[in-house]
This record gives sequence, structure tokens and C-alpha cells, in this order.
Amino acid sequence: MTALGAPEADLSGIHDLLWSLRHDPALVDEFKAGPERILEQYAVDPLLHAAIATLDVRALYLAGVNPYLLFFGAIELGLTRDEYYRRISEGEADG
Amino acid sequence: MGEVLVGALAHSPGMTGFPHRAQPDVGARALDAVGALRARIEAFDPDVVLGVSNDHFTSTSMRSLAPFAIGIGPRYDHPATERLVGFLGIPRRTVSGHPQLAQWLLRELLRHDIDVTSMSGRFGFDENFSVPIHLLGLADKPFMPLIVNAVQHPMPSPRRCVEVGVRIGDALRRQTLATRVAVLATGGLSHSVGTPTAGRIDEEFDEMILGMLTSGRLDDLRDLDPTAITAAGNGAEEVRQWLVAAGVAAPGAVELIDYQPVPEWLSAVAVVCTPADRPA
Repeated sequence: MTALGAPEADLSGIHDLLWSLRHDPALVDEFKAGPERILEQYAVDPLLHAAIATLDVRALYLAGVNPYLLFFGAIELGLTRDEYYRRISEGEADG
Repeated sequence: MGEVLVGALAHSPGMTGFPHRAQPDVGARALDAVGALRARIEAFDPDVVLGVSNDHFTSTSMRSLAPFAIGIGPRYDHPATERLVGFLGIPRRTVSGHPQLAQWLLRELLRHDIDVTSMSGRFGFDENFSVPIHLLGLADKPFMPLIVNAVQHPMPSPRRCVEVGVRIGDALRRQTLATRVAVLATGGLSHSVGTPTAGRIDEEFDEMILGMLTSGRLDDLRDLDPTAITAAGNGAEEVRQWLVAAGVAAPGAVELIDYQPVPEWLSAVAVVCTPADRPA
């Protein structure tokens, strides 16, 4: 269980996907066209599907996703730097 | 017998990619410190540079993350990708490696029970080495990258980082393949990337580390609490590179050139080097 009491997700698939998004521009287009197939292909834990599909970076961060991979992957998927930090800081005491 | 100079500095992309975001006087002071390190290195005139840093998942991945890995290839992409060229504001070119010395160092470390792995094939730099190479004018020097895992837990312990540095220092002073070797650690100190604390600089942590480094308190560096490092931000994990540098410099110590927090660049710019008249 995570610190928030949620079930722990397997992170290997999401890490592999986020890394690949940064290294394969064609994959970014494929993901945007149909994330379900790519999430399946990269064996991303179903617990994380909704969060990555909606770019809920805070949920992914709290699930333990590596912040470097998360930041780079989110930028590739179209989030601006400012929007990334706004989303990930939502609910922080001083965020 | 090789002569060794040890330096360390931040590798913030802001130094080359978006320097204008900093307050002009603050940014200028930080870059002046880097310039002072450049002058020391130029006076030393190294035959080869051993860079010590982490890779930000540019040339490595979760598929295999070694605690320590040394590049034994003949050349490196600087920076690795066109995307990084735009981000860092650094024109792309190739930097030569030093396969002979890198292979020798790899064998020597393994012979002393330091389990370092090797990297070869296409390998490129991100801000880890490209920012320092560019600012320090080192693109024409043979370069050997030592990658430290500072990006994903579990990471090497502070004690192990110092020990690796000590062994590297011993080996470099004994070898005869290069007369003068500059060992350059890059990264840190406290900062955060991709987390809610991005932009936060822990000056108390930075000053504690710099105090230990400049007074040669190797035992204090070995005994650093990894949780205290993590608490200073995920980028603070890069202090491991500085611990390797401290080990290389031992029994000597580095001196502080300057320390300048630059929140707009997400970190402070700390710059240290072994004394000009007393290489390590």
C-alpha cells in the first residue's frame, strides 16, 4: 500500500512508456491517437491508466512514478512546464 | 604518475539554456564562478577529463541502472539529441572519449573490488556533461563519463561514493597513460526536478555539504544520512557525484570558489576546485 493507503501499482510499465515517449516521437502521436492500445502494449498497470490518460501527474507522482520520467513524458504529451508544476503542486501546503 | 585536479559544479540547464531568467547580477556572479573554474582547468591543461555525473534517463533507462558505470567508448554526442540542443542552447558536436584509459580504470577498479560496469556504443550527454563541457571549454579534450545513479532509488550509499572516489584517485595517480587528469563532478546541490518542491533551494544543506568538502571531513561525508539527502530534493541526490570528487581529492580537500543560489535555474551554483598550487 502507498502512504495514502491506495494499492501499490507496478511501475515498470509506466516507466518504460514514459522513457519511450521521450525517445520515440512517433510513439507520442500513436499514444495521442489511441492511448489504450499503447498502455496495453507497454503493460502499464491498470491502476495508472486513468491518470496517464488524463495527465494527472500528481496522481502518478503520488503513486511513486519517477519524477524525471514523469516530467519529461508529460512535456512530450503536450503539458507546458508551468502547467505540469501547477498540476503536480495541487493540494500542497505551499504549492 | 598522473597529476590530478578535482573540481565540482552545478549542471543546471539554466546556465546555458535560459540564463536570462536569473536576476542579472545573481546570474553573472554564478557564471563568474564557473569562469574561475575554467581558468584553473586551463592553467592545469589536462590531457583527459573524467566527468562524474548522473544521466537523466537520456542514455540510460530503468531497464538497467548501474550504481556506477564508466564510458569506454571512442566518442560521445554532445548534447545527445536535437531536442537537448534547443533546451540547453549548446550546438551539437562529438566529443572524443579515451577508451584506453577508461578500460584501464575499469579493470583497475574491478581489481580492487569496486563493481563498476561499463558503457559502450552510442551514448550522449544531457545537461550532466554538456553544460559543464560547454561552459568550461572542454569540448576538444578527451572525455570519460562516469555515471552515478542519482535518479532512482535505491542509490549507492554516501560511504560507497567516497570509496569509489578514493579508488579512482589512487588509480589515476598511479597510471601512466595520461600526465594530467581533471576529475569534474557535476550536479546538485539541493534542488528538485519534476516534483512539487521545484525551485526550492536548501541553503542550510548546501552549506553543510560545502563545509565538509572544503575542510576535508571525509568521515562526515561517508556518514551522511541518505534520508537527509533525499529531504533536500530529488536533485540533491546528485551530491553523490560530489562525494566521489571528495574521495578523489583525498587526503586533500577542495576549496570553495563561490556559492550562489539561483532559484530561476532551480538550484544554487556551487563551484569548488582543488587549490591551484596544490592539485589533488
